Amino acid sequence: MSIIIDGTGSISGVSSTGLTTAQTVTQSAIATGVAGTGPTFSAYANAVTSVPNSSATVVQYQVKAWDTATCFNNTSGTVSLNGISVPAWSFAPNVAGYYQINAGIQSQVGALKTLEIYLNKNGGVYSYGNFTVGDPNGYCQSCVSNIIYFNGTSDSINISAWQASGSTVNVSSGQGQTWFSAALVRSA
Amino acid sequence: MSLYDKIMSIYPTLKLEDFSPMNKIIFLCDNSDEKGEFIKEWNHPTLAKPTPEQLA
Repeated sequence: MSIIIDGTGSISGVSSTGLTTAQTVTQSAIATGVAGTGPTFSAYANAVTSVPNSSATVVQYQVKAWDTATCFNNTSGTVSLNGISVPAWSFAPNVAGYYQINAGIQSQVGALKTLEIYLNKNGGVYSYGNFTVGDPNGYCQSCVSNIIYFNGTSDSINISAWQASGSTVNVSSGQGQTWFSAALVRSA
Repeated sequence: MSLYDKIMSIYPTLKLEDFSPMNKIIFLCDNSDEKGEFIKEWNHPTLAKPTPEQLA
């Protein structure tokens, strides 16, 4: 196909440095896999996760608020999603790129006791979150966030909680208490 | 009995800080996959990793 400019018409919205208006490329015209239409999910706990004393325990997020590309495993077993083997309670996007990750956990671990949160990539600790100390009622809320690269074919992440109160404690349920979300912010 | 309690009953001289995920001298995990707790890392300089028989 050839494009002929014969001087009889006009072209608007284009300059020598590129497109001049955001309206020229609409969100609906962006292909899947480009930031704006890439995978994103949000999930929360509607049941507690029991965390034994001094044992880093993967947090369970049972309810999906959304999961646009079916990349989050909200079960206790390993499942295949988009051809990727996804461990329990893990997010494994099928589009390579850089993802913003956010997670929070709440627990009544005890006054002056510590609740810690970790972001695990492929089974190993990738990011430490904040270590919070229980308020006078014993409540703690710990959060972690980061931007992480995923290869889109095998990488996965999940969230762990750790505490050393001396006995098993529960990570609370609730959309505002224990949550986990991610979104593609830049393709590979 | 938790895995921590079992290990402490075998090695009572261990301290709480030995189990911190920050230094991973002894790193216990539970993947919430219904398989239970396990020893992910054992890096204690003098004490041997307990055997499955000791932890049973």
